[in-house]
Amino acid sequence: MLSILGMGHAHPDTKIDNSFIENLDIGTNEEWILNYIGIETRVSTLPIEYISSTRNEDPLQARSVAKLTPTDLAVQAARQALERSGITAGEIGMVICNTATPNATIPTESQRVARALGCASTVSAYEIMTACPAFALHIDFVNNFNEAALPDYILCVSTATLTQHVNYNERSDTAIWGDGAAAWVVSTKHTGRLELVESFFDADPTRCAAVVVDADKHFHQDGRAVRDFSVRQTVRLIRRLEKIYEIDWEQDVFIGHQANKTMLNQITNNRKIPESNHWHNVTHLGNQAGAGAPAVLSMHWDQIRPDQYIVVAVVGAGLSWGSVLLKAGQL
Amino acid sequence: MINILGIGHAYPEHSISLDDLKRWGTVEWSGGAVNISTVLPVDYIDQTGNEDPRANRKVVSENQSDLGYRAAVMALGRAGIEPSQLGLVVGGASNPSETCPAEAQRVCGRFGLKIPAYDFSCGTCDLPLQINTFSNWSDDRIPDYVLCIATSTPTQRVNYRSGMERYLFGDAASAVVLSTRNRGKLSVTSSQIRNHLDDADLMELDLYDHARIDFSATCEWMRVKLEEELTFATGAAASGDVILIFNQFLGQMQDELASQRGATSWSNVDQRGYSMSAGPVAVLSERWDEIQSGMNLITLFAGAGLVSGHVVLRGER
Repeated sequence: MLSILGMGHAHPDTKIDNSFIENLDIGTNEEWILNYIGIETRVSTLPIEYISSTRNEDPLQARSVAKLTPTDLAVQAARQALERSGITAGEIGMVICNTATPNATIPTESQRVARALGCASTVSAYEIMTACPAFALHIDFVNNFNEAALPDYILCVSTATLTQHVNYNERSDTAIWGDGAAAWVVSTKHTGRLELVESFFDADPTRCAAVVVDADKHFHQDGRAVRDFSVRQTVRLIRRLEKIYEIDWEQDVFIGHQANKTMLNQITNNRKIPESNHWHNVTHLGNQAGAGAPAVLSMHWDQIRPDQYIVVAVVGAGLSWGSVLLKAGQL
Repeated sequence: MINILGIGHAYPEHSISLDDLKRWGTVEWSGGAVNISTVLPVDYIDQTGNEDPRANRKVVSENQSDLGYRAAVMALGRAGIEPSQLGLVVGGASNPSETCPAEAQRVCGRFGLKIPAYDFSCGTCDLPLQINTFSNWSDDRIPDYVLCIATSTPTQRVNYRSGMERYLFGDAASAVVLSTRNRGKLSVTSSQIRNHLDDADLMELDLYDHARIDFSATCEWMRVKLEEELTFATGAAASGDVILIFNQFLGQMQDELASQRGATSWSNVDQRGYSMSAGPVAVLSERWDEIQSGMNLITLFAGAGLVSGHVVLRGER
C-alpha cells in the first residue's frame, strides 16, 4: 500500500496584488478579478519592478532577472518533504519530476533536483510530465509498480514558474498565474500520515492545444474551453469517488486544481462541500500549475485529522485529469 | 515479458555534409560523421550559423512532433495495429518548442486518441528506462499496447560557428510499440538503466541557448559506460548471433568497441549524427527487415543525465 510520508511546498515572495494589475491599465480591475477569478494575490519569481517596467514583453529575458529558478523552488519544497518524512536525501531511491517550465531539458529537472538535494549519484531520476494534474499522475504512476520493485522512498516534485511566461500587457492570463513548487515523499514499504486508497489518471490529447506553454513565447490557452472542462471534469471525478466510497463532506476534505477560486466555488457548490472542508491556496498564491493542489495539502499538513478522507481532483493541460483518494491514518 | 511489435523512425529532409562543416569552420574531425540529419535548411545555417537558436523555428522543415508522429505511424504499421488499440502513449522531446503540453500528448492527439499520455523521459536513454519500468509494473496496470516516442531536434540548438557540437548532433525521432500480452518480432531478454548524476554537467541542452557538451570528458565517460553496459548485456544475451547497436554518438568509438569484442554492429551515426534517445532505436527501425529469429540485438545507451543502460532484444518467429 502506498503512503505519503511527508509533503513540502515553496513559493517566491514577490506578491502581485489586484491593484497592481488594475494599474497596468490593460482593461481589467480589482472588482472583475475578484468576481470572475477569485484571486486576491499571486506570487512570482520576477521582481515586481521588472513586471511593472517591462510587462514581461520578452519572456526570454525573464529568466535572467528571476530571483528563483524552478529548480530552486523544487529543492526547497523537497527539503521540507524530506524533513517531514524524517529521512535524508541519501535515502531517496527514485526522484520523479513534473515541470512545464524547465530552464533546460538536459539534464532533466529531476536530475537537477536530485543533485541539488544531495541524493545518491545513482538515484533513479526522470521526468513524468503532464503539467497541472501531476499530483494524480505521479501517485498513479508509482502505484502501477509491483511493490517489491520500488525503492523504500520515492520523491515526487512538481515545479513551475508560469509568471515568467505571462504577457503583462494582456489581461487574459495576467491575473491567474503564480509560481510555486510542491513535493511529496511516498513509500510502499513504510507507512505515513496519508494512505492511498485509490488513484486515477486519464487524458484527452485531442484537446492538448487548449493550454500551451511555449518555450520562447508567452503562455496561451483557450480560457473558456479550459474552464468549462475543468469544472465538469472535476465534478465527475468527485462524483465517481462519492459513489464508491463513504465520503462525508462534513469531515472529509476536497482539494481541487488551483486554477481560480470562482471555478472551485462552482465545484464545491455542486457537490455541497462546505468551505471549511475545502482546502485551497489559489486566492493568495495564484494558479501554480502542477504545484497548486499538492502545495495546498502540504500547507494543511498539520490540520489533517485521523481517519479523514482527502479527495484531490486535478485537471489541466494535456488535456488531462486525475484523482487521488487518501485516508489519514492514526497520527 | 515485454514484447516489441513494431519500431519506427523519422529523419528530416535536410542533411549537413562534411563539406558543409568544412565551409563553416576548421574541421579536425575524425569521429566519422559525413552527414548529419537536420530540420534546418542548410542555406539558413550558411547565412546565420544558427547563432540565435530561438530564431530557427520559423524555418524548420518539420518540428519534433511532426517527426514523432511519422515515426509512430511507421511503428504502428509494423506492429499491425490501429492507433485506436493503443492504451497509453509515453515519450519525450529533447528540445521541445512547447514545454506544455507533453510531447506524448501532442503526438497522441494527432491520432485522435483520448487515452492517457504523458512525458516519461530521462533525456537520452528513454527506451531502457521505459522498458525497465514497464517490466516492473503490475501486469494488470499495463494496457495491451503501449506507444513510446522519442523525438530529438538538437541541431536547432547548435552553434554552427564554433564548438564540437556541430559535428555531433543530428535530428531524428523513433517510436516503439510494445506489449506484455501480445507477441512481436522482438522480445526483451533483459534491460538495465543506471544513473551517474555526479557527471550530469558534461552535457546541457538549455531551453533557449546553444547546446553544450564537454566533448573529451563525455567521450571518456561514454566509452567506460558503454563497455560496462556491454559486459552486463552480453551476460544476459542468449546463444546465437549478436548484433551490437550503440548509442550513435561517435562512429569511431563504436567501431573500436565492436572490434574489441569481435562483434558486428549496426550504426548510422556517420550518416545521421547523434540524435540522443532516438538514435539507437532508429537504427533498429532502419534494419527492421533484417531482424531474424534467434538474433540477439544488444542495444546500448549512454548519454545525458548522465545515464547509461541497455536493452537486450531477441528476434522471435
